[in-house]
Amino acid sequence: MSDLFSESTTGTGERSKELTSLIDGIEAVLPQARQAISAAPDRKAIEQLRVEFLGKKGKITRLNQRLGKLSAEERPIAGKLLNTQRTEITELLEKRTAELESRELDARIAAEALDVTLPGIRPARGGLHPVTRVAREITDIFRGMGFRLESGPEVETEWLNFDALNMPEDHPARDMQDTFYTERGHVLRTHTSPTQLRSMLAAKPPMAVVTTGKVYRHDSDATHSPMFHQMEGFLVDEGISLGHLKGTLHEFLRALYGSEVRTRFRPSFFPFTEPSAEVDIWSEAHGGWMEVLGCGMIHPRVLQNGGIDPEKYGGFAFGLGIDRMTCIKFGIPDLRLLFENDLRFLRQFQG
Amino acid sequence: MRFSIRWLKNYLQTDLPAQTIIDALTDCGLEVEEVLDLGMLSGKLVTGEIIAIDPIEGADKIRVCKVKADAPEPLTIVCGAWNIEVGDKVPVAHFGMTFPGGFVLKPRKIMGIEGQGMLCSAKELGVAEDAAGIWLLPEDTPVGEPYDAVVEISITPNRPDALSIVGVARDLAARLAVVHPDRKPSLKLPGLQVPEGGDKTESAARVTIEAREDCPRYTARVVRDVKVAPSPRWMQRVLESAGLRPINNLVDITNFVMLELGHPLHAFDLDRLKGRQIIVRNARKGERITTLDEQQLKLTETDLLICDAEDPVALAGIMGGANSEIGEETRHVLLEAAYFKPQTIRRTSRRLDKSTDSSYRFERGMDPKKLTAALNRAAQLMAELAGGTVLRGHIDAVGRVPEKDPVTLRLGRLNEALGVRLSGREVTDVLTPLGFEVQRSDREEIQLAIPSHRVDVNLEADIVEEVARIYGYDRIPEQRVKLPSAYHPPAPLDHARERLADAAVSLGFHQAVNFSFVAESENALVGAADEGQVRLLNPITADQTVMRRSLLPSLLRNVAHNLNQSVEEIALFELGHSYVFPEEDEERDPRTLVPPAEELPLFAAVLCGAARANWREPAREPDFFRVKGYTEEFLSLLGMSKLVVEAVTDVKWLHPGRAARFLAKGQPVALFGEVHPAILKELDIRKQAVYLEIPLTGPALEPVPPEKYREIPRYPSVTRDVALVVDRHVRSMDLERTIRKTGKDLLASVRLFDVYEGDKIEEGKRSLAYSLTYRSPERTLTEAEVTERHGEVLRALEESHGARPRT
Repeated sequence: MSDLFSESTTGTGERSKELTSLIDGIEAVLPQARQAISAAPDRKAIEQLRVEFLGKKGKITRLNQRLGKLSAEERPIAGKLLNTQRTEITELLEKRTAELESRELDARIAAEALDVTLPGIRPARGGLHPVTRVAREITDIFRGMGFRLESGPEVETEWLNFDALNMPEDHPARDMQDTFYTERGHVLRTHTSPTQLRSMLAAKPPMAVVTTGKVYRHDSDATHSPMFHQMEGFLVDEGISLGHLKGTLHEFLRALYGSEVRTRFRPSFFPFTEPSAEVDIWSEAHGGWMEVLGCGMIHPRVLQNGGIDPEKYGGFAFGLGIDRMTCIKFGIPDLRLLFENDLRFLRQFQG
Repeated sequence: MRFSIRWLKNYLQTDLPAQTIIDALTDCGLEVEEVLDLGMLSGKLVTGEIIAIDPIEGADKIRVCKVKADAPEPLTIVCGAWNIEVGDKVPVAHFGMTFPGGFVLKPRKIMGIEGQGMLCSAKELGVAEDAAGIWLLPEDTPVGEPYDAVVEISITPNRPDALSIVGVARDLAARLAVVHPDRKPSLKLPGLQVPEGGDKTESAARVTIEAREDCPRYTARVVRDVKVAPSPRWMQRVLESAGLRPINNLVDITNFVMLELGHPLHAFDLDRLKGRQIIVRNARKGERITTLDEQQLKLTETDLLICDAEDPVALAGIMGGANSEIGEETRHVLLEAAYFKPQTIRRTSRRLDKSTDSSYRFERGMDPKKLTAALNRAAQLMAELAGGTVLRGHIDAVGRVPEKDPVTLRLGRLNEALGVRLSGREVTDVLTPLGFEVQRSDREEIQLAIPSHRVDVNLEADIVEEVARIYGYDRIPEQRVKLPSAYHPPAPLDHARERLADAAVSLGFHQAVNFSFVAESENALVGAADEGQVRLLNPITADQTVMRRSLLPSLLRNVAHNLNQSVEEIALFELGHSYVFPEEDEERDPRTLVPPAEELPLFAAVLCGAARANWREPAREPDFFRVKGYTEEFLSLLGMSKLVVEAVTDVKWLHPGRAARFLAKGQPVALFGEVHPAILKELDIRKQAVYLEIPLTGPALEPVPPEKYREIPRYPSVTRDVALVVDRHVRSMDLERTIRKTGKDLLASVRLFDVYEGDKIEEGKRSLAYSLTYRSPERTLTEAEVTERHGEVLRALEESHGARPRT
C-alpha cells in the first residue's frame, strides 16, 4: 500500500487536502475490518460485517462516494486504493466464512455421531428349501453339460411306471418300490423314470435329458419319506458305452464334490438298466464308501418301449435321491425335518 | 444273506486272504453290508481247546480254565459259563479284540487271578441272540487258528441263484480268477452219495400234480426210521452264522441244504400224511389252512396247496401245515423238493403278507433242474445224521418245466456296449466259471447255453452284464460324451418357477415343501372334496388319503405349526400341483401317454403374523393390500402388466369382502385375499393370514415380449395434487380411469397417495388424494395449458362420480 502511495505521489506532486483525508479514511478501514472479521463468531456476524463494510451504506461505499470530490488526476489514485481495499475485505470475508463453515460442519458431524452398534434395518429375506437348492445345483451341472431339463406327471400309468420299464406285474422288482395306488388303478410314480419313456416317445435320438421331481413310496420312517425327490438323467445316441456313463458321472461328481473326489462303480440291479451300477464316493468324514447314484445302460426292452431301435442306439441312465443328498450336505439327521416346514429349520437355509 | 467265511471256504477253493474275498463280493455285485470279524481279519480271536477246568477258592459262580490256543503255553482264563467240558473247542478272545458294540477286551484281575483272554458266547460275538454259555465250536476244529468272519451281503432281486453258499462261491471263483489268475481259485461242490435201502419210494408214497402250471415239477424221497435229535455242532454253527436258529436234525438239514444249494425243501411227517399221498392243487375259495406258526389262513383259487388224501398239509413254497409238522415222535419223513411258479408264490405271499426264507427264494425263481441234487443232499444228511434209511429211487412228478434257449453274444456288440476290446477267449474265460457253456463260437459270435440256475439271463444284454460284472467295472475306461447341443433354454414352466422362487426369497418368503397328499377334510376346506379327487387306495395314514387340490390347506397347516412353536413373521411360499381326475375316465388304452390326472402347477404364498417391529419401525400386519401388492409383483415378474382386478365373493375360503382376482386378457391369473376368519378359527390360527395363488398355466407362461426403449422425457412436467371427496362406494379404479381418459395425451401419470375416511369429512364419504403429473413429449407445457386440462379432469370427475375437490 505504501508503495502505491509513494508511486502516486512521485507522479503527481503535491496532494490536495481532500485526497489526503480520503486516503487516511481508506487506510483506516482495513485494520478495522480485519479485526472485526477475524472476531466474527458466526455466519450471521459475517453477513452483518459485509453490510457494514461493503453494503449500500457501508464504509467502502461511503468512501467511494467521496471520490467525486477529487480532481480527475487524483481520482484514480484514491480509486485504485479503494478497490484494493475492497478486494482485500471481500477476501477476508470469504476466508472467514469458509473457516466458519468448516467449523460448523465439524460441529455437526460431531453431533451426528451414531451408535453404530445398533442393529441395521435389514430387508426381509427368505430362502429356498434346501432340497430345491440341491436340485438346482445338480441340474445346473447337467444343463451345463448339455442336458435338457424336462418334467413329467406324478400320477402315472402303471405301464409307464413299471411295465414299460421292464418291471412286469408279479416281478419281484416291484417289491423294491412299495407303491401308492389311486382309486382308478393308477400309481403315484415311484421314481422319475417314466419321464425317460415320455421323453423318448416324444423325440428322436440323439437326446440327453435330466429331470427332477417328487416321487412316492409306501414307506415312512426317519430315513424314508412317503414323498421324496429324485433326479434322473439319460442319454441316447449311437455308440454309447458303459465307458461314457462312467465318464459322464465322474465329471458330474467332480463338479459336485470337487476334482479330488474318489468314486467307485460297482455292479447292482435295476430292471430298466443293464448292466446296472451303483456309484459310491469315498467319504473321509464317514470313513467309508457312500452310495450316491444308481445308474446303468438303458435296457434294450426299455429303448424298444420308448420307440428306439436298440440295435442302432444305446443309452445310459442315472438317478439319485435328492433328499438324502440334501441331508448329507447340510448334516440333517432326520428326513422328516425336510417336510415339516418349521421356520426354525427353514431359516437356517438362506441361500 | 449272511454266511461265515470259514464255511464258504468249504466250497471256494482258495488260499487268498479273507479281506480279498470280502472285497471281491462287492466288486461282482454281491454288496457287502456288514462284516463281523470273529478273528479272521484281526487275529484277535482264535480257536482253543479246553484242557483243564478248576474251581476257584471262594467263588461258586466262576471257574478257571487252561486253554490250549495259539501260544506255546496254555492260557489261563476265568470263565463263568457252565456248558464247557475238558476237550471242548472254544472261541478264545485275545486282549485288544473289539466286540460288536465297540467293547475292547482289556486285561483285568478276577478273584486275584490274572486272566489271559476270554471265552466267548454267541451273543457276545454278535452271531446269535442265544447267550446260554460258551459258543462251542465243532469237535474237529483245528486249535490255534484265527477263527472266522461273518459277512452279510445284500442280494439284488434278479439273483436268486446267489441266495446260497454255492451260488456265492461260484461268483467269487469267477471273479477271483480274473483278479488273481495265478492263484487258480475254484468252486468245489459237496460230494453226493445217497445210501439207499429198503423199499422203493413209489411203494411208500404217491405224488399227483393237478396244478401243472403252478407246479411244473415235484420230487420226493422217503427216509424211514429217523431219530430226531439235535443236529451236530458244525451244522448248528453254520445255521447260527446264517442267522437261523437250530431246531432239530431233520429241520436243520432242510435249512442247511437251502443255505448250501439254494433250494428250499420241506420235510413232512409221513405218518401224518393221510393216504401217504401228496396232491398239488389250487385252493378252493374260502378253504383254510393252519400253518406251523399256528396261524389260520383263508385261501383263494390262485393259491397253491400241498395236500394229502384229505386235507391241505402245506401252503406250497411258503410254509408247512401244523398237521404234518416234524416233531419229537416223527419216525418216517417225506422230503419235498419242488419247483413252483414264481408269480404264484409271490401273489399268495403278498396277499397273505407272509414271507419266509422259502417264499423269498421261490418267488424270485429257483432252478427247476437241480431239484434232485437238493433232495439227494438232504436224504444223504438224514441218513448220516439221523440214522434213517433212504428208500430206493425218488418220485419225480413233472408238470411243465420252463426251458431256456441258448443266447448268441456278438463280440462287437459287447465291446461297443462296454467300451472295451475283449477277445472271444477273454469273454469265455469270464463266463465259463459261472456255468455258461459255449455251444459254438467264431470270430464274431459266441453261442452260449444258459445255466438253469440263472433265471435272470435270457438276452444278449444279460450276458454283456455278466461279462462286465466279472471283468470288473473298475477296468472299463472312462469316455467323454459328445453331446449334440450345448445349451437348452429352460421350458417356460421351469423358467417361471425359478423366477418366482427367487423373487419370493428376496421378498422374505421361505420355501415350504409339503406332501402332495392331504386329508380329505383339507380338500373339503377349499370346497374340492369331490368326485375328481385323486384318492389313494392304500394311504399310510388317515391324514394323507387324497391328492391335494390347493396349496392353501397345507400352507395353513404350516402356519398353525409355526404359531404353535411361537414362530413370528410367517412368510411361506410353495411350488406344487393341484391334482384332479378328468371327468370321464372311460376305458383308456393302458399304454396311453395322456397323464391319468390333470396336474396343475401352482405357486402360492401365505403371510401370517406382523412383520416384527424393530427399534425404528412399527410392526406391519399383513392385510389385503399387502398381499395384493405381492401378487402384482409376482405377476409383473411373469410379464403380466395389463391386469384387471375384480372382487371375489364366491370363494368360500377367502374373506368375502377382502378377496379378489386378477384377470389378464379376460382370463383369471391370480387369486388372493385374506383367509376367511371361519377357516382360521377352525384351524386354531389366531392371527390374520393372507394368501395368494397363481396357476402356472396360460398367460403366466406366455413368452414375455422383450422390453423396448422409450425416449426419456425431455420437457419438464407439472404436478397437481387433488383430494377428491366421493361417496364411499365409488371405486378408486373408476376414478383413475376417468382421470386417464380426460387427461389424455398431456397426463403422464396418476398416483393415489392418500385415502381418508373419518370425522373431518361428511359421513358416507371418503377422500381419495391423487397426484397428477402433466407433461408433453413435444414441448414445455404452459401454466395455462395445464390449468385448462386439469380443470377438464376435475369437471369430468364431478360429472361421472360426483367427486368434488376437498377444501
